[in-house]
Amino acid sequence: MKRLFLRASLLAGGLAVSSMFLASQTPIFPGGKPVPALPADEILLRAMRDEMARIPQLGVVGGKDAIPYFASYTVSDADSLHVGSVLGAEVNVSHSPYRAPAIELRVGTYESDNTGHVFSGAYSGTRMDGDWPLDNNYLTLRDNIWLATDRAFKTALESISRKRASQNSAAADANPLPDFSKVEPVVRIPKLEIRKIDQQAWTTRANRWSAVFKGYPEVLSSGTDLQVLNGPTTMLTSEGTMIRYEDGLAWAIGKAETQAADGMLLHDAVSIQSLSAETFPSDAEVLRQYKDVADNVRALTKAPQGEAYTGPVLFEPRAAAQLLSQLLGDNLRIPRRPLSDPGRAANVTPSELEARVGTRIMPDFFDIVDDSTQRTLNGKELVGFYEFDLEGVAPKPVNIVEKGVLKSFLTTRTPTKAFPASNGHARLPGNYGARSAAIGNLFVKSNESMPMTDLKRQLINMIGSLGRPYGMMIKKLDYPYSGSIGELQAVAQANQQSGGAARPLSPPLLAYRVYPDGREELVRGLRFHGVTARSLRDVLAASQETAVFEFVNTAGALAYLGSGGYLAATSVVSPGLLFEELEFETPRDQLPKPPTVPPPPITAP
Amino acid sequence: MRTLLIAFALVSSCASAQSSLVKVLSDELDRNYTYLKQNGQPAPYFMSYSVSENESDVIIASQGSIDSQTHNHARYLDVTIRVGTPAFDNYHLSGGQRPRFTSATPVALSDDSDSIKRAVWLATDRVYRAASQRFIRLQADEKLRTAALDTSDDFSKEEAQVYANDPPQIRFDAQAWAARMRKLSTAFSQYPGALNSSVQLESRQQTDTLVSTEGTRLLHGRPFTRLIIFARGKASDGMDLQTLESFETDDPAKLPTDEQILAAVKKAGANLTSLLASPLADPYVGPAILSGRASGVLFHEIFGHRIEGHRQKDEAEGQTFTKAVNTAVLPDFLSVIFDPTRKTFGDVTLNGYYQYDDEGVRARKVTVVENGILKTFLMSRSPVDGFPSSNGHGRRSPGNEIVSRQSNLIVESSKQVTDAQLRQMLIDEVKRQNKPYGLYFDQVSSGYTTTGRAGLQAFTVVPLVVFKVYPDGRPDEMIRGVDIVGTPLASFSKITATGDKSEVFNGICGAESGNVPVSAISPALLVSEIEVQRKERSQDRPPYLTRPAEGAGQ
Repeated sequence: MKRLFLRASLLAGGLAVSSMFLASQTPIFPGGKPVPALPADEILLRAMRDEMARIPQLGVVGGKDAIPYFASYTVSDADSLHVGSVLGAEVNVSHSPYRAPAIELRVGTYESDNTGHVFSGAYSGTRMDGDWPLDNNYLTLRDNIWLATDRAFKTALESISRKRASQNSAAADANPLPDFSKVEPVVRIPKLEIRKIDQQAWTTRANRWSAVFKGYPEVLSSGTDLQVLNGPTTMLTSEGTMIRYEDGLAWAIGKAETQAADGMLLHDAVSIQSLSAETFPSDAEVLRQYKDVADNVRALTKAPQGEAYTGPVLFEPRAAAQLLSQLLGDNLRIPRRPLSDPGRAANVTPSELEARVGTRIMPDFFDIVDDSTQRTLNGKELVGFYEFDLEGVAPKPVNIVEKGVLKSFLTTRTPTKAFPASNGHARLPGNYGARSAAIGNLFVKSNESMPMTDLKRQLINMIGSLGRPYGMMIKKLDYPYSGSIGELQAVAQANQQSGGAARPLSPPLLAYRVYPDGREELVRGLRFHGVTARSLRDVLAASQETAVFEFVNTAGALAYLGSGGYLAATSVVSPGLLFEELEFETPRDQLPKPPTVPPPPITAP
Repeated sequence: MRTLLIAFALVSSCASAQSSLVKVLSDELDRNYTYLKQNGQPAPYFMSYSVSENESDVIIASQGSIDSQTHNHARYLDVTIRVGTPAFDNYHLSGGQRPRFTSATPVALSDDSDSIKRAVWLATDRVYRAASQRFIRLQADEKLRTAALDTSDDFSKEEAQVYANDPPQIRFDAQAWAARMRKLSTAFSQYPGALNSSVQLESRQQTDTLVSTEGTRLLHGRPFTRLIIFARGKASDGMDLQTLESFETDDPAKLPTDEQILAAVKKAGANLTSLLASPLADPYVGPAILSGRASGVLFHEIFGHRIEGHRQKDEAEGQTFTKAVNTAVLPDFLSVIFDPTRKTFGDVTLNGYYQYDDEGVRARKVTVVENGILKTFLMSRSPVDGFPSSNGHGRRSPGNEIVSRQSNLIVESSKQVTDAQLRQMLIDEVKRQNKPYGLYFDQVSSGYTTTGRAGLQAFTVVPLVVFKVYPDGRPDEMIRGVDIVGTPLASFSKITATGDKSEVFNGICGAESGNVPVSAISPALLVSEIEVQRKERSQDRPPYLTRPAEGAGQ
């Protein structure tokens, strides 16, 4: 596949392929960076460019305070397949082409625009624009972009007038932050096509995976959910960014549930993801992971109920990565509080770490980096890799923690105090006209480490000196969360009552008592109590072994499986961690009776 | 007990010859029912499983491009469990609360026994828990409440039905249709006022399977095909306006020719263009003619919803007609019939056709009003005083509990005049009332009505195309922005004559038990007085920039 790789800033330097583009460069907005001329077959981009070029004409409508200064059009194209399967038979197959547009239009200036108000983005008028056509028909595309732009403009006008009104009645901020940061435009438009998904083949595969649970009579309910999106995203901004990149995802969730004799609901799940249908793991690998889920559920039904515990806790590398995904992940973004009318509350979940830049948040042997530019690790795909974020900014490696000290946050083009520029992490939609930053590839590195077996020995020594009958070891957390919504609400409520952080923490799925003789005993039904980002200071040691934990961030609470429409695949690489002291509690939920009627026997395993 | 056994034996031999889904469902039904009868407290006395299977193709085209093309296939299971006795069970109405036990559970698309039985068992467990919990609470509550006015049972006795007819599979060539739809939708580009326009085709195969512990074993269904032509624009004062044309049939091969569809596209475009330029209507009270289609919607809203049986029992309802049986409720020249067994009217396929309702009761023709006299209600298996049995109108969409719903509403008139005479009668009435003009309602899109006791007993019908008819011979003038409003009893008495040709309005009716396909057939009506109000209108302006012109920026 031939790829055009051009950065706007390099255009003048005259790359070999760029002569045709030099022929007719024009900026989209007056004074902006010129964009290259487009070949005739770039119909979508030509329609976007030509319609965007008309936006400055809207400047006369809203007066000099509301002149459009920035616009972007983003279109994701894909062949999309969704298959649900239970016990070897599909219950749901939907396969359709997909074209999802996103439009942004900002009026005002980079310093002060229509965003950042509690009603930013609210629109009271009629929505005349609909789906964009799947066909690359220049005129129909123009028509749809025209209507969508008109709505975006009216929305921006409505927002900025409300914002101006609020500014008029609220005390002025002594050091106002700009609303939008500038970036260097990027031009990169490789030819990328939508690749057809083989529905029959994937349905057969999903059925094969879900049939694993037929061999486990103790699993009462099970299923698999598969989503495949194969295609590129194309983006154009008025600043001159013109990019196209692969934006696919293949994502399978396998889940099994049962009920213990005492009524406790038990489950386990696995999330398997890749950045394209072509790089999805083999059936053998998927089946192995599904079998683990079934084996875990089987083991949990036999496991005793855990007890409240305070003391040393050892996390295996995968569980440590799941913990850090939560304790760090959501706290590495700083959301901006929107302007509001005095007395009106705005819903913002702050970062627990916001005030702690420059202070130690972990022991000094830890370094943490987010490097979403890394495609692979030891020859295997890292799903947290991406070329551009939702704002068209390529990610930069970010040193988050150096020697235990918090150095930086993940940022978007919405400036925050001390972090005025984007480092390319606008991966999820946000509120009040901003995007939300999220991790891509997070690497947790320890400069002092020992084998897991030594960490386990250290755990046993600690309980010996504390005079405890056992210590705790965690092998898996329920993250991304796979229980029912009701259970999730119970977890969130318990978290609030126990004085935890603003966000609840996923409960452990596989928690073991470690006895002085080294024996491990699985227990069920434990939740964390009061564990927050602050708990990271209690890490004593890290393991030499590391694990790559991957999941799809849906922007839902605890990355709840199947909760969101926005999908940011994420990788976290971490060693195992030994904590000096953490606390577990047992839930006090009312347990349902087991089903009255015994399950139907499986006849064809 | 003996008869029951024989019934079962008979049924299972039929079932095995029918479909494997019927067999899978009835096996699991027998297993769960037997177990719950012996061990459940309270024990069920009735259970049924229904699977609603829907396979559809939808193509939406706009101005020569395909906007969306999807193929969907789903099967949803609904479980009904009744505990207690038919006289008093877990569905008993209490304090105006209508319980919901079922939720549409997706089940395997193939007749895979292991996968389906597991889903059925889990859904049965969920529904049984909720059913027994409510029943126990109802028993306790009953001691605290005064006696209900309606003392009828909670569940009627009906004959078990055994029938299997796999509906004919329709052929749908998605590629060929996509090409046709591109062509058909292009015609809208001649109407620049249509900011938004589309031609939408849905071809759907609906198959219903029902098994019950009374021995009912049903497999039946039908295809639906619908082509909708839609255009929307914005008048210079911000008012949103739309026009709509539609064709219904069973098999997509029976849809009209391209020429006929193009004519409808042009009609929708031309009507919208005229509407955009037409003057704003003033609030008005006076005589009017409602076209057959408009009258059908009016009857569906103001009459049909008020003779649904369950509303006569529910003390939260307005109960407009509860005590009106055998009295005059309409002018004596009108009769109203609900006939779900009717497949077509002229060459139009009727949406409200079915062989069995969702409780497995055989569909039948029901004369609700005969020569103005109310005779009965539309009944599901939930009886009301004086009407102990179902007449085949228990309906729902998956995931909802069944209530009585409309089917094919047919208004018949013995006072018919020709269109020309009806128009002359309108003009005479305008003159008699000394009004400047009368109204002619050509097309309506939809309506809604409130039947609850707490709300106003009222209705609204949303007209699309309305004309002023002047008494002095001036040509009719199109107006925009009117809603028909009124209260039901007052409106019926003002019907003075009808036309001699009936028209069909096919639609989807949404109410407590979900969306169900219905039809309304009526001749045009002359009413001596109708009230219209100004439509609520959007305040935002039409697009600021001009429409991108052909060839611009190429």
